[in-house]
Amino acid sequence: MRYTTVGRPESQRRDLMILAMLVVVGGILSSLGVENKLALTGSIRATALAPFLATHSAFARRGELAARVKRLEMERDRLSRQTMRDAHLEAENERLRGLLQLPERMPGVYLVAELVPGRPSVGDSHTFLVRAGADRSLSAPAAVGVPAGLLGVVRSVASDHAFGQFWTHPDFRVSVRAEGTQATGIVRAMHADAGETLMLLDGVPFQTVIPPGATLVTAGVAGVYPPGVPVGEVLAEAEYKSGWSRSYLVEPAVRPAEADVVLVWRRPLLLTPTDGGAGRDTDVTE
Amino acid sequence: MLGERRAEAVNAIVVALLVLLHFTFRPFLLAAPVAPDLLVGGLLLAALRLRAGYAALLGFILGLLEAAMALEGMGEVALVLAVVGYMGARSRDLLFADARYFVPAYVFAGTWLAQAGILLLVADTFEPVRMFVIGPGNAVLTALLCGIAERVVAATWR
Repeated sequence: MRYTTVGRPESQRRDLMILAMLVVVGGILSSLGVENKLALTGSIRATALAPFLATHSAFARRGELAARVKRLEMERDRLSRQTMRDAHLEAENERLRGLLQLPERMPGVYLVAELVPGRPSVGDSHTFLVRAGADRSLSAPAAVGVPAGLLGVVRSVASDHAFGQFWTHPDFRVSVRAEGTQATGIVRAMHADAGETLMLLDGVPFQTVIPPGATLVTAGVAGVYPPGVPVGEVLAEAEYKSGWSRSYLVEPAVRPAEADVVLVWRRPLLLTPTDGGAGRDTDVTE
Repeated sequence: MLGERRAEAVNAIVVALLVLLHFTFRPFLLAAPVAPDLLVGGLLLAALRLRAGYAALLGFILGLLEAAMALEGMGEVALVLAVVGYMGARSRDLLFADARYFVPAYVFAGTWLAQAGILLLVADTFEPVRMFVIGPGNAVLTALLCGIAERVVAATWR
């Protein structure tokens, strides 16, 4: 078969200029901030890719229905047992807070949403989409997790969905404390030698030693993550040290592949001295 | 002239079909250990008949769609596919595009190059298995499929 030829030299120059322009635009796009990238991704998914995404959802629903029903039944049974166990704890907590004259707890609201992980053709995904957005009063940043532990954070919110990053993302950080000790630090993702992604606990004061097996939970300092959510378990002290601090390797509580339905935390509204508790969220799961 | 136009129309339809199939069946293609990369295959077939600049533009647009679908690599994938589209169109001019086995060899090399480029720019760690085993495997399947598609286009030429 005969193919068209190169063309005149000025046309070749024009082609080269088009390529150079595209390379520049590509470079600019790849250097955009997370929110801008996610906004662009969202607009492409809502327009050109919408029919394909709807088809994927239909495929997924059809393929996973039986397994999902089985999983939901097991989860329901587990939750029933847990609710029975925790009912008296809640009453006891309220009574003790009353005795200590502490204000009512403001745990915020957990939104239940479907999670759609990113699927790059090569490598692992660090980004996800949750099917809950501004229509459910969600705002970024917001913690995303499952009952077993923290999974990531919402970075950008659209009308009916939101984009976020798994804890495996290089930009992800969470402030934690080790249960049973006074140790605190910052957790981030770390690629182990075997290609596995673990967590690294940084910034632990040098004089504080955390024993292997200690559970790390969110400190809840900045209000992005609720306090007390499991993040991982300390494996060993890392060789990497920065100044007068220690670092620890951490086995994550949850891996990104383990979740398809997640809880997104909507933090409670802050109280002002005058409102006497108005605007308080209750401990519910929507 | 009429035959040429007809072949171009059939080529455009084949390319569009490959791209549609890629985006429709992407979850299944990614789940398979080795699968044809219909997106890059479609781009390379299109580059056989497009000017290099337009092939680069097509690659860039397909790269944006792919990155939006994957939720990763916005910019990087578009950049790689733009370069692959441009090089595809230029290699058609510089090599012996009329040779019998040009298209399968061209698609194999182009697909492997695209996958290697995306792997280097997007993935966190270098994965030799993906680069030297899965990548060529995907490229062989893509070359086979596109070779057949190109034969269909060639048949309409006569």
